[in-house]
Amino acid sequence: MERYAAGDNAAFGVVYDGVAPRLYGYLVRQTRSRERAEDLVQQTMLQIHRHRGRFLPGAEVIPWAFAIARRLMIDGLRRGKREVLAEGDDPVGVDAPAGGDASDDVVQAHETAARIRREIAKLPEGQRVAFELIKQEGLSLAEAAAVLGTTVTAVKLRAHRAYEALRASLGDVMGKEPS
Amino acid sequence: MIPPDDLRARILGAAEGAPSPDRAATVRRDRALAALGVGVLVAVFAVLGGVHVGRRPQAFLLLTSGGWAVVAGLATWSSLGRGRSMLGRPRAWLSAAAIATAPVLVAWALVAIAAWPEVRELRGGASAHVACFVLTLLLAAGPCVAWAWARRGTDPVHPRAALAALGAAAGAWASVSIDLHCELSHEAHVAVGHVLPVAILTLLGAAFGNRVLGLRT
Repeated sequence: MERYAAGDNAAFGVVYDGVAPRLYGYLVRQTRSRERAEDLVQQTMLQIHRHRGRFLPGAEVIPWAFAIARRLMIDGLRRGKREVLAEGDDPVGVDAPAGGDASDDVVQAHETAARIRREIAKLPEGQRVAFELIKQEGLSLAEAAAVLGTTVTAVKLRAHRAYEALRASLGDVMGKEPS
Repeated sequence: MIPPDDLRARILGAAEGAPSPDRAATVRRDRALAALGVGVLVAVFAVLGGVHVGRRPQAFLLLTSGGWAVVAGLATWSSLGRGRSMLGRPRAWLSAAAIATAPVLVAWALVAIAAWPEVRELRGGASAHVACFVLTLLLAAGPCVAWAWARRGTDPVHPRAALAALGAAAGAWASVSIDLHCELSHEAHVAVGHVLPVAILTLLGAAFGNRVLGLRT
Protein backbone atom coordinates (compact mmCIF):
# COMPACT_ATOMS: atom_id res chain seq x y z
CA MET A 1 0.00 0.00 0.00
CA GLU A 2 2.92 2.28 0.77
CA ARG A 3 4.19 1.99 -2.82
CA TYR A 4 0.71 2.47 -4.20
CA ALA A 5 0.08 5.60 -2.12
CA ALA A 6 3.41 6.98 -3.33
CA GLY A 7 2.27 6.67 -6.94
CA ASP A 8 3.24 3.16 -8.08
CA ASN A 9 0.02 2.21 -9.90
CA ALA A 10 1.14 -1.36 -10.49
CA ALA A 11 1.15 -1.98 -6.72
CA PHE A 12 -2.67 -1.91 -6.65
CA GLY A 13 -2.67 -5.56 -7.68
CA VAL A 14 -0.55 -6.41 -4.64
CA VAL A 15 -2.93 -4.44 -2.41
CA TYR A 16 -5.85 -6.33 -3.94
CA ASP A 17 -4.21 -9.71 -3.33
CA GLY A 18 -3.55 -8.82 0.30
CA VAL A 19 -6.96 -7.37 1.10
CA ALA A 20 -9.62 -8.85 -1.19
CA PRO A 21 -9.67 -12.49 0.00
CA ARG A 22 -10.25 -11.53 3.65
CA LEU A 23 -12.73 -8.88 2.67
CA TYR A 24 -14.59 -11.23 0.35
CA GLY A 25 -14.89 -13.91 3.05
CA TYR A 26 -16.20 -11.37 5.55
CA LEU A 27 -18.71 -9.96 3.10
CA VAL A 28 -19.99 -13.36 1.96
CA ARG A 29 -20.57 -14.29 5.59
CA GLN A 30 -22.31 -10.99 6.27
CA THR A 31 -24.45 -10.66 3.15
CA ARG A 32 -24.86 -14.40 2.44
CA SER A 33 -24.68 -13.53 -1.24
CA ARG A 34 -21.56 -14.03 -3.36
CA GLU A 35 -22.83 -11.55 -5.94
CA ARG A 36 -23.41 -8.82 -3.37
CA ALA A 37 -20.06 -9.58 -1.73
CA GLU A 38 -18.29 -9.16 -5.07
CA ASP A 39 -20.03 -5.85 -5.61
CA LEU A 40 -19.00 -4.63 -2.16
CA VAL A 41 -15.40 -5.78 -2.61
CA GLN A 42 -15.29 -3.84 -5.87
CA GLN A 43 -16.72 -0.70 -4.27
CA THR A 44 -14.36 -0.99 -1.29
CA MET A 45 -11.26 -1.47 -3.42
CA LEU A 46 -12.22 1.49 -5.58
CA GLN A 47 -12.68 3.65 -2.48
CA ILE A 48 -9.16 2.65 -1.40
CA HIS A 49 -7.95 3.52 -4.89
CA ARG A 50 -9.73 6.90 -4.83
CA HIS A 51 -8.29 7.86 -1.43
CA ARG A 52 -4.83 6.25 -1.72
CA GLY A 53 -3.20 9.67 -1.42
CA ARG A 54 -4.55 9.98 2.12
CA PHE A 55 -2.88 6.75 3.25
CA LEU A 56 -0.70 7.39 6.29
CA PRO A 57 2.80 5.89 6.26
CA GLY A 58 2.81 2.88 8.58
CA ALA A 59 -0.98 2.67 8.90
CA GLU A 60 -2.86 -0.65 8.60
CA VAL A 61 -4.84 -1.30 5.42
CA ILE A 62 -7.09 -4.11 6.70
CA PRO A 63 -9.04 -2.10 9.33
CA TRP A 64 -9.51 0.69 6.79
CA ALA A 65 -10.80 -1.75 4.18
CA PHE A 66 -13.13 -3.47 6.65
CA ALA A 67 -14.48 -0.14 7.86
CA ILE A 68 -15.22 0.99 4.30
CA ALA A 69 -16.84 -2.35 3.44
CA ARG A 70 -18.95 -2.28 6.58
CA ARG A 71 -20.09 1.29 5.87
CA LEU A 72 -21.01 0.41 2.28
CA MET A 73 -22.90 -2.66 3.47
CA ILE A 74 -24.85 -0.65 6.08
CA ASP A 75 -25.62 2.07 3.53
CA GLY A 76 -26.88 -0.62 1.17
CA LEU A 77 -29.16 -1.99 3.87
CA ARG A 78 -30.45 1.48 4.63
CA ARG A 79 -31.27 1.99 0.99
CA GLY A 80 -33.61 -0.91 1.39
CA LYS A 81 -31.54 -3.63 -0.18
CA ARG A 82 -32.11 -6.86 1.62
CA GLU A 83 -28.67 -8.30 2.16
CA VAL A 84 -29.15 -10.52 5.15
CA LEU A 85 -31.41 -13.40 4.36
CA ALA A 86 -33.72 -15.06 6.78
CA GLU A 87 -32.15 -16.76 9.73
CA GLY A 88 -30.73 -20.12 8.79
CA ASP A 89 -30.89 -19.62 5.03
CA ASP A 90 -27.66 -20.46 3.27
CA PRO A 91 -28.16 -19.97 -0.46
CA VAL A 92 -24.48 -19.61 -1.22
CA GLY A 93 -23.58 -22.85 0.46
CA VAL A 94 -21.00 -21.23 2.71
CA ASP A 95 -21.40 -23.90 5.33
CA ALA A 96 -23.28 -26.53 3.40
CA PRO A 97 -21.81 -30.02 3.15
CA ALA A 98 -20.56 -30.81 -0.31
CA GLY A 99 -22.41 -33.52 -2.21
CA GLY A 100 -25.66 -35.23 -1.37
CA ASP A 101 -24.37 -38.23 0.60
CA ALA A 102 -22.63 -36.42 3.42
CA SER A 103 -21.64 -38.45 6.44
CA ASP A 104 -23.34 -38.04 9.81
CA ASP A 105 -20.35 -36.08 11.14
CA VAL A 106 -20.54 -33.58 8.30
CA VAL A 107 -24.28 -33.18 8.70
CA GLN A 108 -23.87 -32.66 12.42
CA ALA A 109 -21.11 -30.11 11.87
CA HIS A 110 -23.37 -28.26 9.45
CA GLU A 111 -26.20 -28.25 12.00
CA THR A 112 -23.87 -27.02 14.73
CA ALA A 113 -22.59 -24.24 12.49
CA ALA A 114 -26.17 -23.20 11.72
CA ARG A 115 -27.00 -23.22 15.42
CA ILE A 116 -23.96 -21.05 16.23
CA ARG A 117 -24.95 -18.65 13.46
CA ARG A 118 -28.45 -18.37 14.90
CA GLU A 119 -27.12 -17.64 18.38
CA ILE A 120 -24.64 -15.05 17.06
CA ALA A 121 -27.48 -13.37 15.17
CA LYS A 122 -29.39 -13.02 18.44
CA LEU A 123 -26.61 -10.97 20.07
CA PRO A 124 -26.96 -7.18 20.41
CA GLU A 125 -25.52 -5.42 17.34
CA GLY A 126 -22.44 -3.97 19.04
CA GLN A 127 -21.49 -7.27 20.67
CA ARG A 128 -22.19 -9.30 17.54
CA VAL A 129 -20.04 -7.13 15.27
CA ALA A 130 -17.15 -7.03 17.75
CA PHE A 131 -17.31 -10.81 18.17
CA GLU A 132 -17.42 -11.43 14.41
CA LEU A 133 -14.51 -9.12 13.63
CA ILE A 134 -12.29 -10.61 16.30
CA LYS A 135 -13.25 -14.28 16.45
CA GLN A 136 -14.37 -14.90 12.86
CA GLU A 137 -12.37 -12.44 10.79
CA GLY A 138 -9.22 -12.61 12.89
CA LEU A 139 -8.79 -8.88 13.45
CA SER A 140 -6.80 -7.77 16.48
CA LEU A 141 -8.55 -5.83 19.23
CA ALA A 142 -6.93 -2.62 18.00
CA GLU A 143 -7.99 -3.29 14.41
CA ALA A 144 -11.58 -4.11 15.42
CA ALA A 145 -11.70 -0.98 17.58
CA ALA A 146 -10.57 1.13 14.63
CA VAL A 147 -13.18 -0.44 12.32
CA LEU A 148 -15.92 0.31 14.85
CA GLY A 149 -14.59 3.77 15.71
CA THR A 150 -14.29 2.94 19.37
CA THR A 151 -11.62 2.18 21.94
CA VAL A 152 -9.80 -1.11 22.48
CA THR A 153 -11.30 -1.37 25.97
CA ALA A 154 -14.83 -0.97 24.64
CA VAL A 155 -14.41 -3.53 21.90
CA LYS A 156 -12.79 -5.98 24.30
CA LEU A 157 -15.75 -5.63 26.64
CA ARG A 158 -18.26 -6.14 23.83
CA ALA A 159 -16.49 -9.24 22.55
CA HIS A 160 -16.23 -10.66 26.06
CA ARG A 161 -19.94 -10.12 26.70
CA ALA A 162 -20.76 -11.73 23.38
CA TYR A 163 -18.60 -14.69 24.26
CA GLU A 164 -20.25 -15.03 27.66
CA ALA A 165 -23.71 -14.90 26.08
CA LEU A 166 -22.74 -17.53 23.51
CA ARG A 167 -21.21 -19.75 26.16
CA ALA A 168 -24.44 -19.57 28.14
CA SER A 169 -26.50 -20.62 25.14
CA LEU A 170 -24.00 -22.94 23.43
CA GLY A 171 -22.19 -24.36 26.42
CA ASP A 172 -22.20 -27.84 24.98
CA VAL A 173 -20.35 -26.89 21.79
CA MET A 174 -18.07 -24.10 23.02
CA GLY A 175 -14.72 -24.40 24.67
CA LYS A 176 -12.87 -22.02 26.90
CA GLU A 177 -12.55 -18.37 25.80
CA PRO A 178 -9.19 -17.74 24.20
CA SER A 179 -7.16 -15.05 25.94
CA MET B 1 -12.31 -17.46 0.82
CA ILE B 2 -10.95 -16.70 -2.65
CA PRO B 3 -12.84 -14.16 -4.77
CA PRO B 4 -13.42 -15.07 -8.43
CA ASP B 5 -10.59 -14.33 -10.85
CA ASP B 6 -12.62 -12.02 -13.04
CA LEU B 7 -13.30 -9.75 -10.05
CA ARG B 8 -9.60 -8.90 -9.79
CA ALA B 9 -9.44 -8.00 -13.47
CA ARG B 10 -12.62 -5.93 -13.22
CA ILE B 11 -11.38 -3.92 -10.22
CA LEU B 12 -7.89 -3.33 -11.58
CA GLY B 13 -9.39 -2.28 -14.91
CA ALA B 14 -11.79 0.14 -13.23
CA ALA B 15 -8.97 1.66 -11.18
CA GLU B 16 -6.84 2.07 -14.27
CA GLY B 17 -9.67 3.86 -16.03
CA ALA B 18 -10.16 6.36 -13.19
CA PRO B 19 -6.76 7.66 -12.02
CA SER B 20 -6.55 8.93 -8.45
CA PRO B 21 -4.16 11.44 -6.86
CA ASP B 22 -1.15 9.97 -5.08
CA ARG B 23 0.11 11.08 -1.67
CA ALA B 24 2.23 13.97 -2.92
CA ALA B 25 -0.71 15.48 -4.82
CA THR B 26 -3.07 14.94 -1.90
CA VAL B 27 -0.69 16.52 0.61
CA ARG B 28 -0.23 19.52 -1.68
CA ARG B 29 -3.97 19.95 -2.04
CA ASP B 30 -4.63 19.56 1.71
CA ARG B 31 -1.92 22.08 2.59
CA ALA B 32 -3.30 24.56 0.07
CA LEU B 33 -6.80 24.16 1.51
CA ALA B 34 -5.56 24.53 5.10
CA ALA B 35 -3.62 27.66 4.16
CA LEU B 36 -6.67 29.03 2.35
CA GLY B 37 -8.86 28.45 5.41
CA VAL B 38 -6.44 30.13 7.78
CA GLY B 39 -5.83 32.87 5.21
CA VAL B 40 -9.53 33.70 5.05
CA LEU B 41 -9.69 33.89 8.86
CA VAL B 42 -6.66 36.18 9.01
CA ALA B 43 -8.04 38.35 6.19
CA VAL B 44 -11.42 38.78 7.90
CA PHE B 45 -9.60 39.54 11.18
CA ALA B 46 -7.47 42.17 9.45
CA VAL B 47 -10.51 43.76 7.79
CA LEU B 48 -12.15 44.00 11.22
CA GLY B 49 -9.17 45.97 12.45
CA GLY B 50 -7.01 43.28 14.02
CA VAL B 51 -6.01 43.31 17.69
CA HIS B 52 -7.78 45.92 19.82
CA VAL B 53 -6.88 45.95 23.51
CA GLY B 54 -9.27 48.79 24.40
CA ARG B 55 -9.90 49.28 28.11
CA ARG B 56 -8.88 45.72 29.02
CA PRO B 57 -5.72 45.12 31.05
CA GLN B 58 -3.11 43.59 28.75
CA ALA B 59 -2.50 40.73 31.17
CA PHE B 60 -6.21 39.90 31.08
CA LEU B 61 -6.18 39.83 27.29
CA LEU B 62 -3.07 37.66 27.28
CA LEU B 63 -4.64 35.24 29.74
CA THR B 64 -7.97 34.88 27.92
CA SER B 65 -6.64 34.78 24.37
CA GLY B 66 -3.62 32.67 25.29
CA GLY B 67 -5.76 30.14 27.13
CA TRP B 68 -8.28 30.03 24.34
CA ALA B 69 -5.50 29.55 21.79
CA VAL B 70 -4.34 26.52 23.75
CA VAL B 71 -7.91 25.15 23.76
CA ALA B 72 -8.23 25.83 20.02
CA GLY B 73 -4.90 24.12 19.38
CA LEU B 74 -5.96 21.04 21.32
CA ALA B 75 -9.31 20.94 19.53
CA THR B 76 -7.55 21.21 16.17
CA TRP B 77 -5.08 18.47 17.06
CA SER B 78 -7.92 16.23 18.22
CA SER B 79 -10.11 16.77 15.20
CA LEU B 80 -7.63 17.00 12.34
CA GLY B 81 -5.02 14.56 13.60
CA ARG B 82 -5.53 10.90 12.73
CA GLY B 83 -2.89 9.41 14.97
CA ARG B 84 -1.43 6.42 13.10
CA SER B 85 -4.75 5.09 11.89
CA MET B 86 -6.48 5.64 8.56
CA LEU B 87 -9.73 5.78 10.49
CA GLY B 88 -8.83 8.67 12.77
CA ARG B 89 -9.35 8.92 16.47
CA PRO B 90 -12.07 6.97 18.32
CA ARG B 91 -15.59 8.35 18.33
CA ALA B 92 -15.43 8.97 22.11
CA TRP B 93 -12.32 11.10 21.65
CA LEU B 94 -13.84 13.21 18.86
CA SER B 95 -17.12 13.58 20.74
CA ALA B 96 -15.30 14.68 23.88
CA ALA B 97 -13.35 17.29 21.90
CA ALA B 98 -16.54 18.52 20.23
CA ILE B 99 -18.61 18.68 23.39
CA ALA B 100 -15.93 20.07 25.71
CA THR B 101 -14.55 22.91 23.58
CA ALA B 102 -17.27 25.55 24.13
CA PRO B 103 -17.72 24.89 27.90
CA VAL B 104 -13.95 24.98 28.44
CA LEU B 105 -13.72 28.33 26.63
CA VAL B 106 -16.47 29.76 28.85
CA ALA B 107 -14.91 28.33 32.00
CA TRP B 108 -11.52 29.82 31.13
CA ALA B 109 -13.09 33.21 30.45
CA LEU B 110 -14.89 33.09 33.82
CA VAL B 111 -11.61 32.35 35.59
CA ALA B 112 -9.97 35.35 33.90
CA ILE B 113 -12.95 37.60 34.65
CA ALA B 114 -12.84 36.51 38.30
CA ALA B 115 -9.19 37.59 38.43
CA TRP B 116 -9.98 41.01 36.83
CA PRO B 117 -13.55 41.76 37.99
CA GLU B 118 -13.36 45.34 36.68
CA VAL B 119 -13.67 44.07 33.10
CA ARG B 120 -17.29 43.16 33.87
CA GLU B 121 -18.02 46.85 33.37
CA LEU B 122 -17.24 46.37 29.67
CA ARG B 123 -20.69 45.11 28.83
CA GLY B 124 -22.48 45.50 25.52
CA GLY B 125 -26.13 45.49 24.56
CA ALA B 126 -28.02 42.94 22.51
CA SER B 127 -26.83 44.50 19.26
CA ALA B 128 -23.19 44.06 20.31
CA HIS B 129 -23.91 40.42 21.23
CA VAL B 130 -25.44 39.79 17.81
CA ALA B 131 -22.65 41.62 15.97
CA CYS B 132 -19.93 39.56 17.67
CA PHE B 133 -21.94 36.36 17.19
CA VAL B 134 -22.14 36.98 13.43
CA LEU B 135 -18.50 38.05 13.18
CA THR B 136 -17.33 34.93 15.02
CA LEU B 137 -19.27 32.74 12.62
CA LEU B 138 -17.77 34.69 9.71
CA LEU B 139 -14.25 34.22 11.09
CA ALA B 140 -14.85 30.49 11.52
CA ALA B 141 -16.28 30.00 8.03
CA GLY B 142 -12.92 29.90 6.22
CA PRO B 143 -11.16 27.20 8.24
CA CYS B 144 -14.37 25.24 8.74
CA VAL B 145 -15.18 24.99 5.04
CA ALA B 146 -11.57 24.43 3.97
CA TRP B 147 -10.89 21.67 6.51
CA ALA B 148 -14.20 19.96 5.78
CA TRP B 149 -13.56 20.17 2.03
CA ALA B 150 -10.17 18.52 2.44
CA ARG B 151 -11.80 15.61 4.27
CA ARG B 152 -15.06 15.35 2.37
CA GLY B 153 -16.34 11.88 1.60
CA THR B 154 -13.53 10.07 3.39
CA ASP B 155 -14.84 8.97 6.81
CA PRO B 156 -16.42 5.51 6.92
CA VAL B 157 -16.69 5.29 10.71
CA HIS B 158 -17.74 8.44 12.54
CA PRO B 159 -18.32 11.40 10.19
CA ARG B 160 -20.76 13.17 12.53
CA ALA B 161 -18.36 13.21 15.48
CA ALA B 162 -15.47 14.15 13.19
CA LEU B 163 -17.24 17.16 11.65
CA ALA B 164 -18.59 18.25 15.04
CA ALA B 165 -15.01 18.26 16.43
CA LEU B 166 -13.78 20.07 13.33
CA GLY B 167 -16.52 22.69 13.69
CA ALA B 168 -15.59 23.18 17.33
CA ALA B 169 -11.92 23.64 16.41
CA ALA B 170 -12.64 26.17 13.67
CA GLY B 171 -15.03 27.97 16.01
CA ALA B 172 -12.44 28.05 18.77
CA TRP B 173 -9.92 29.81 16.50
CA ALA B 174 -12.62 32.30 15.54
CA SER B 175 -13.28 32.88 19.25
CA VAL B 176 -9.60 33.60 19.84
CA SER B 177 -9.68 36.14 16.99
CA ILE B 178 -12.82 37.91 18.14
CA ASP B 179 -11.48 37.98 21.70
CA LEU B 180 -8.35 39.74 20.46
CA HIS B 181 -10.49 42.30 18.68
CA CYS B 182 -13.51 42.93 20.92
CA GLU B 183 -12.96 44.61 24.27
CA LEU B 184 -16.39 43.73 25.70
CA SER B 185 -15.60 41.25 28.46
CA HIS B 186 -18.79 40.84 30.48
CA GLU B 187 -19.53 37.13 30.82
CA ALA B 188 -22.89 37.43 29.06
CA HIS B 189 -21.27 39.03 26.00
CA VAL B 190 -18.41 36.55 25.97
CA ALA B 191 -20.81 33.61 26.25
CA VAL B 192 -23.26 34.80 23.58
CA GLY B 193 -21.05 36.74 21.19
CA HIS B 194 -17.76 34.86 21.39
CA VAL B 195 -18.49 31.28 22.43
CA LEU B 196 -22.07 30.45 21.41
CA PRO B 197 -20.98 30.28 17.73
CA VAL B 198 -18.59 27.48 18.71
CA ALA B 199 -21.51 25.47 20.07
CA ILE B 200 -23.57 26.27 16.96
CA LEU B 201 -20.76 25.08 14.66
CA THR B 202 -20.39 21.92 16.74
CA LEU B 203 -24.10 21.17 16.37
CA LEU B 204 -24.01 21.94 12.64
CA GLY B 205 -21.05 19.56 12.30
CA ALA B 206 -22.97 16.81 14.04
CA ALA B 207 -26.02 17.48 11.88
CA PHE B 208 -24.24 17.53 8.51
CA GLY B 209 -21.32 15.20 9.24
CA ASN B 210 -22.77 12.25 7.37
CA ARG B 211 -23.50 14.33 4.30
CA VAL B 212 -20.13 16.11 4.22
CA LEU B 213 -17.55 13.67 5.56
CA GLY B 214 -19.45 10.40 5.11
CA LEU B 215 -18.21 7.95 2.50
CA ARG B 216 -19.57 8.64 -0.98
CA THR B 217 -20.65 5.78 -3.17
